[in-house]
Amino acid sequence: MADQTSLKSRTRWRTATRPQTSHGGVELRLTGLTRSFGSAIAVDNVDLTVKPGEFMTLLGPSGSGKTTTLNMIAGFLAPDSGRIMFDGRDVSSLPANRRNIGMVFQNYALFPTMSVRDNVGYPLRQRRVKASQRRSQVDAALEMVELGHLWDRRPAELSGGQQQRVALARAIVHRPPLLLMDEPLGALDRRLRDSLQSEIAAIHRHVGSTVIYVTHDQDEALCLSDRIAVFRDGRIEQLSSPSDMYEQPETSFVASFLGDSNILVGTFTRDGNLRLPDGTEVRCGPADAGRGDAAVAGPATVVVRPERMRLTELEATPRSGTNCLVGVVIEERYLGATRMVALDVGGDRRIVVRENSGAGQTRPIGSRLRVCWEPADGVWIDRGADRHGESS
Amino acid sequence: MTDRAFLKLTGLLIGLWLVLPTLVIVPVSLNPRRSLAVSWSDWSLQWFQRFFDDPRWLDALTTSVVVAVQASVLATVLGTMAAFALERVTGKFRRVLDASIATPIVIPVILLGIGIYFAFLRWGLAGTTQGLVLAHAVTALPLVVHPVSAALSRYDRSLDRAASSLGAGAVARFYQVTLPMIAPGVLAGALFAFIWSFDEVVMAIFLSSPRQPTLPVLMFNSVTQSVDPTVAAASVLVLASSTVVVLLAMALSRKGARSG
Ligand SMILES: Nc1ncnc2c1ncn2[C@@H]1O[C@H](COP(=O)(O)OP(=O)(O)OP(=O)(O)O)[C@@H](O)[C@H]1O
Ligand SMILES: [Mg+2]
Repeated sequence: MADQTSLKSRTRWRTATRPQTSHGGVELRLTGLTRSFGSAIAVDNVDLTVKPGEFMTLLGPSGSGKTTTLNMIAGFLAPDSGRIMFDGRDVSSLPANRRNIGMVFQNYALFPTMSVRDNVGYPLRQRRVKASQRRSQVDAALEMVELGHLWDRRPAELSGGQQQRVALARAIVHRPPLLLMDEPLGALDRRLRDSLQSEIAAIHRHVGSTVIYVTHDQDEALCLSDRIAVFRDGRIEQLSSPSDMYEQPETSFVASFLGDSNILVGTFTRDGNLRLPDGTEVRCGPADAGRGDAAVAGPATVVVRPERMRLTELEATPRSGTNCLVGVVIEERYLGATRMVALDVGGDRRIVVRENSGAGQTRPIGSRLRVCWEPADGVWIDRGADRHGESS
Repeated sequence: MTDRAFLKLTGLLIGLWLVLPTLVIVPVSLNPRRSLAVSWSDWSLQWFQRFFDDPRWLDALTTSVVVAVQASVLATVLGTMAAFALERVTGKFRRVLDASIATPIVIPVILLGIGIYFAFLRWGLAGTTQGLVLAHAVTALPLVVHPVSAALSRYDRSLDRAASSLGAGAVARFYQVTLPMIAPGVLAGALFAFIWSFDEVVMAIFLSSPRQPTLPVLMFNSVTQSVDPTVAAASVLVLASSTVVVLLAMALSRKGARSG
């Protein structure tokens, strides 16, 4: 079976048993948060509780309301209704400068007229920290982002990656209980993003702040977060840990937004299988499944990740109990460690398989192959449609 | 001749036509005889000497500087505030406001002088230094609003958000973040306002105190009432200082444009 992390050749830095450094974090609770612009609802009745010290990522497509939510938490934007609570205290009416937060912006937003040291010292200056103490805290924060030697530069004299490191140091130098980041790595290239991701993770471990992190990069979300909230049209579509989000997507929107997926649409049969339009029945989910028991036949959807599928020659007899379809290769994409093979399995349906490219042989276009997967690798999506009642 | 060269030549001629009559006062001020003529054979600095020896001229210079400093400070504060307020306004109303702020430039200064004179007569401000400061400050407003607005339009508002997320209130944001960024524009406006007040003669004739004329008023009186080449020396001094200040102001507003 293909290793699902082989394509995302990154690891999660935190182990499951990370000591809970809750000393520095605040509990954030959003209740019924709503905000519209004109007639368009940007954030629609969002409820969310973030535990102290938790790294929460708001993930979603463009225009789904992530920034609007973050701006309301920061205090830049007043909600139309709903409440924002820090440790049970309602801060909805506090201005941003009284909320004791740290924030990192996509465009860095460093003060051009100040040196790196003055930029990083800015939150301490507002809090009237003595100059001598300020200096040592600033140097410690700069050391954390490995920029101690550039303290006397102006922002304009730094590269984009360095500027964002300074912005990061500036946002945490005062140890804010809540750290907000709006696509902090959005303007950086791939390599810089990778190294800054590990720095953000290390800083989060060290400072222990509660972090709200906005991104539309799924890899970033998967490797940094304790939990991910997937946004869609101003609502939270699913709230789960990264692995649950990937392994157990609740809607086809989440399944297709987070990673590649094969979405099989058909009808639910009385014996708990999915019947595809061409009549093939596939078995899905753990044997008991539970979902089928009381259900009547009806439309249903199953998601299978491409790396959980295997390709075999037609002559090879499949193991009994596995699901198999026969298809014609219509596309092959070489991705280095893996390759993606797309097959037409009839009726305009397309199945994508990811396999290790080390396997040797290629998959010539036009060849007929069998594609198989274990029933346990099929994930039921709520039958009918998504929670919104719309199909995607 | 190419079009470009023709344009350049035309520009040069027009420039000379504008500048040469002004420069004529330089040889006049060096004239060794008591006449407003040009002498090419010999020269002297006696009229400059006279300017700095005569308390009437020195007092007028002091009055002018005092008025110009006060007027430009007032205009800078008010003009900067106006530019901030204008930032928030958009659409049709913005154009109305822009136009009304520009009125002092469009309306003939003689009309402004007469109008303000009658108003000040009723308020008891006519013939006082404070009155002249007020009149100069108001008419210098557009000279400040313009460069400050230009600097503000290049100012990145996300810096305000960054500052407030880090704990800065509105006052701290203005002095620590915004003002340093728009400082070249503000300074340029202040210098333009200073020169406007320092050179201005029409309103000053109406409004300045008879016992404390400003330098341009004294020069005007001197030319109309006597033949005293000291006025030429005064003109050269005013010309030189104005040129320096305006060049400085222009360099500043260009700097503001680049660093925005
Ligand atoms: N100031 C505003 N005025 C009008 N509409 C706005 C404003 N800000 C956001 N919106 C609208 O609200 C919706 C949500 O915007 P938001 O910026 O929160 O999205 P986002 O999830 O951050 O998207 P992106 O990934 O592109 O940053 C969008 O439809 C957007 O057009
Ligand atoms: Mg956004």
